[in-house]
Amino acid sequence: MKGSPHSLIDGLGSLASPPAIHQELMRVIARPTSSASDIADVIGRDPALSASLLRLVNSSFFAFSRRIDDLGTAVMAVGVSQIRDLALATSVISLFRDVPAEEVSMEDFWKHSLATAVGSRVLASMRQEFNVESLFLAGLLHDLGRLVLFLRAGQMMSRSIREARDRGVALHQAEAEVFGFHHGDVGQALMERWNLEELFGEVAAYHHAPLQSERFPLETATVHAADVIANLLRWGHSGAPVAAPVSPRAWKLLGVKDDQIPALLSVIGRQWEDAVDGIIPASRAA
Amino acid sequence: MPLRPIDALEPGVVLAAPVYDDAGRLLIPEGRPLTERQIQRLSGWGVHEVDVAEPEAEEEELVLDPELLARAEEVVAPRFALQPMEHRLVRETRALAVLQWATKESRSVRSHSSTGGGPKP
Repeated sequence: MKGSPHSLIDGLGSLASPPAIHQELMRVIARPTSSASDIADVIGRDPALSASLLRLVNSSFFAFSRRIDDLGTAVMAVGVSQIRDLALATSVISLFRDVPAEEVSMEDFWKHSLATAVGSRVLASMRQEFNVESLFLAGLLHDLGRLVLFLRAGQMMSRSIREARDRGVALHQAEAEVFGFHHGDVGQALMERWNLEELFGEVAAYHHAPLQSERFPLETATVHAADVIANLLRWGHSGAPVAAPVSPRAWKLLGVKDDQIPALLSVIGRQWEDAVDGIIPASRAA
Repeated sequence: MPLRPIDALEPGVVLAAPVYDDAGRLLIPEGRPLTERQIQRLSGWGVHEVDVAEPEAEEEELVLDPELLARAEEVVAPRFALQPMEHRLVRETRALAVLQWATKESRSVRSHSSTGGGPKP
């Protein structure tokens, strides 16, 4: 069985739809009469999500000078589309928290994804980008296709991991040999099905070959670099035995100066620990 | 990070978390050494204990056993196998990975010897 990314998603059942909270938020945000408190009401119906978002908003991520205790204030302080992106990020983690994978725990997987998300956000904020939360979300979702592969084709996924380990090749390459496509393609297919903005699918599809992205090379290069950093520092675990190589040309696009690198790594590490505490409260980062 | 009662505070101690009043106003930011005056004011603000930073970690990281560092090099090497080694990002990341592994290892050794074998951090 080879199938295609789309046929794998057809068998996903309820996971083929985006988290309900996201659909509801999109509806409320699209209504011209909606206010910050309408958006807060939608999020408030999910107590776990509300608690996570408030912890995040009060973490070193945002460094607001006052403590924010209610969602309405949080929406106004952080911004509507930013809150929507953070809410989707948080709810995807709980939607995919029980994927059975022998080689990697879901806790490690999401820690890796969070490290990539935080790294992408930090790199984007160095360029003073407007919606750094969309890069956070793109980073968080970059490996989501791998969870679909674990769910729908666990044995073939195990074989891919064995191949990668035994031959010392990157896991996406082993996946491509076994499946005929890799987790990035599957992630893109899922995010298309979810009707997410094109950015997210394209970043997932090309995060191992960022310069091939036609519409979002800079965003894809950002997530690519953050992914490599997270893998090399074993901040969480993506399931890949050997980290895929960094693309020097993609790194150059980001304009990070050599002497900024140590500080960059330490900021990402610190914010990652905070994000883990905020979003995966049952565990610690290190 | 430990909570410390305010009568056990000395000037110079660094807060690990900011102090707010009931209305959510920031009273003292984190990360800066406390002054005598700030400590005296805390009880007037109704604050009884504060979260203080632990200074030990950073000081001790500086003295890592060379043998441990050599082992750390070996442990992290395989995951760097596919990287362009001369690239600056790779070099810096590798240096941090080595330090990270060695620090964690030396902490777990220390906590084992002091508690007679506690759980791994």
